[in-house]
Amino acid sequence: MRQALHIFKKDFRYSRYEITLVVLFAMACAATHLRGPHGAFNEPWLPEIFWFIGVAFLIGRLVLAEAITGDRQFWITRPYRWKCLLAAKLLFIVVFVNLPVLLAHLAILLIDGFPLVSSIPGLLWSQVLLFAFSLPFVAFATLSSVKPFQLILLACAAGVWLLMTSTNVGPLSGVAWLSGSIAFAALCATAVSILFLQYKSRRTVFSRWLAAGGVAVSAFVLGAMPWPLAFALQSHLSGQDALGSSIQIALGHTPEERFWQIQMKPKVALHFPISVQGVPGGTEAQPDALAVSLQSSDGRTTQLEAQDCQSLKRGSLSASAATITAVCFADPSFFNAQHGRPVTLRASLYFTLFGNAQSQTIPLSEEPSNAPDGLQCYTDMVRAEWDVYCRAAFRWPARLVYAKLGRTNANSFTQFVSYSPFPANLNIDPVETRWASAYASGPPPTVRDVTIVVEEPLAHLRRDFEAQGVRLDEFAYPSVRVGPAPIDVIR
Amino acid sequence: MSDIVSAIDLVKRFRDAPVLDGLNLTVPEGSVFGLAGPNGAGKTTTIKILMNILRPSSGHAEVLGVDSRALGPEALANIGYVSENQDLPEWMTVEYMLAYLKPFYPAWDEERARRLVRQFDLPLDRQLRHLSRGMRMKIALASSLAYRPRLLIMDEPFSGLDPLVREDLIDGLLESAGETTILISSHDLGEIESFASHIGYLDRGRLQFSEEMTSLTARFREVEVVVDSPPLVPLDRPWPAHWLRPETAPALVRFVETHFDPERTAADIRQLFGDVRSISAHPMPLRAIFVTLARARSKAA
Repeated sequence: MRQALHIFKKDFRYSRYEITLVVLFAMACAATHLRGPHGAFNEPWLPEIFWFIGVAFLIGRLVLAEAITGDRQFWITRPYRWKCLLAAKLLFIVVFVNLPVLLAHLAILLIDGFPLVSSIPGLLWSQVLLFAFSLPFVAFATLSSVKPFQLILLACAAGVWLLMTSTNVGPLSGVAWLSGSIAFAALCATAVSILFLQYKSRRTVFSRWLAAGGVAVSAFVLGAMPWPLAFALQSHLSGQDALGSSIQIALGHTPEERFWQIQMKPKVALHFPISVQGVPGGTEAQPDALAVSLQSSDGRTTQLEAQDCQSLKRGSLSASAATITAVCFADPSFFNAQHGRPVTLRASLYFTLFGNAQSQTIPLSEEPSNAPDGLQCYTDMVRAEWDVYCRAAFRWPARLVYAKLGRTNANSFTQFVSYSPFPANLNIDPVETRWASAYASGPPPTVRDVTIVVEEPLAHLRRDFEAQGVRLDEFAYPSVRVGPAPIDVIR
Repeated sequence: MSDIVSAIDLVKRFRDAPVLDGLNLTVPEGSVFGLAGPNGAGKTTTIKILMNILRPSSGHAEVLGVDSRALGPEALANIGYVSENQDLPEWMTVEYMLAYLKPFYPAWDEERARRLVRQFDLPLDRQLRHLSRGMRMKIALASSLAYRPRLLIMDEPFSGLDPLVREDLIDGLLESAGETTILISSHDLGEIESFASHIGYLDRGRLQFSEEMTSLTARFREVEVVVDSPPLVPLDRPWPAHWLRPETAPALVRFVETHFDPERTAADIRQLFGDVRSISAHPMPLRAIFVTLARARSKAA
């Protein structure tokens, strides 16, 4: 341990200017966040990019101070203990990469008024994630001492980092954490193996193959994990299948009002109303994904995957029933061929039952007020007083969150909720902000209170249904009519 | 004397091209072993294998009784390494480098380090990147001698250095020669001739011979034989195998005796030539010995 500290001190001396820059960038991230109106619309992307580049450079420099590859390095003929050397490098990352971000997070949490105790899991988990994400950088940096090669590797690592940290708000975002977590775990396992091999016995050729394999596996899992498998895993993890035993799904009637949807020519937009009956009391069904198979009378079929049915909106609400409208984009050749003819529709609806609602009425002002589940909610008088903003530390909770303004209907902050059980995402800015608008119900200028309703996911379910004699032209998109404003996510 | 370094049947191939081809080498403890040979003979590869910088394709080497592939911090704390091919931490000052290395070596002798700095006239406050090549070799040597290693391995340490720096380094080396075994490689025999106690000659990946310097220089003689004219040179009879580079001229025969013994050599000469007018045997410089051997081998090949 003494040798590790000795090397650590040397590395600090060697990289003191770079360290100063990285710490300044971390401070700039915090300052940029805090300068904004409660952080909304004020993502510190520029200092984050500089911080990221600075960290990548710092790690490269740190590793190359005792480069693993090559046969001319000074240190390899000196009595270094590989465990001490590796420990020194990892300690350096903890102190000069993690610690500044930890302090920045603490400053943001304290100044924004988030309850510190309930934020501790997120705070610690974000540090674990940050450290784990540094490992691939360290591992890649050990694979070559040639600077251009290092830059390529770091750029690849940066790409993976950006891909895996980007906010996922698609219809499959609820289960995207599964593929992200598996890919991340594969990448980290690869990095740990490489670090062990490189620092213990400098097996660079094997390590390079290992790195290529690890990156390929991670990329494959991230990009090609079948979403039905992800939903099946999520459903298995929730383990509450029995809760939805009373639910019945069927194709509903043609909707009278269709919400706004961008046309994706030359695809044909089909609006499928789905009737959900028998929802258990105290719960509500929220759609996650829909997969449709259409079969013509002559046996020709077309598949509409979840990616083709990206707009799922829950319509009417009652105690035990809901109507979900799905907009799917179909192949025009199939549509034109089957125009006016009956087809058989087979579909699988993936949905989540939410329940155990908690609500809290808080004053609606520009000053954020604490709401359930660690949320803080406020409005922005300058922009639109009927908009409600809520923000959460480290990640948006895996909950359905509504805002009720006076007598207006509840507005969901987003239907896209990540079901990840982890308390934090990997972000330098620890605050995630979303908004809900009461615009559709008309502005309530006199309302000064808002009720925040939070429901937790109870079960992730899949129901298959079939309808025969379906005429597609009845469900085709007739014309653009503006419905409720689309939901949005702000980071 | 036990062996501090030994290599048995070492083979090293780079992309199927053999650089070492069954090398066998032993370095006795307490010796100053000069590993000589032409460029590309495999000297640096041998040293890198001994230092666990490279792994042999096959064969086995031991350094300080440890398998070279398992050479760890404990052994490295007793080995000094100086090489013209080594990248030093150029951002460090001389003073910081010595201070940085000190905790790695339990036997670090601060007084000796200071003395070496003075002896080599090293500027303590200067970064290594601002030092001349000779100065860098000096700091490399000083930082390797300060902990009184049992073994000091030097790979072409004098290559391209001016004579003054070379003398400084040799002086520094000689001070440690009593307590430290030195293995030094060089393609320039003149560099190591003056202080090596043992010499090994490496060529085409094989050690052609390895011997104590005194024994080597004692057994090699350039012999001149003056015979009655016209000389009767028995060209149809085979010359003794230990006579190399035979040359003949009217009334003169010249050759290199590789196993010189005054009485036996004289007897061999008389047996071949009969009565001769005079025999003179001249000691040979190391360079001349190696040239003779190299030519003989290339001729044999």
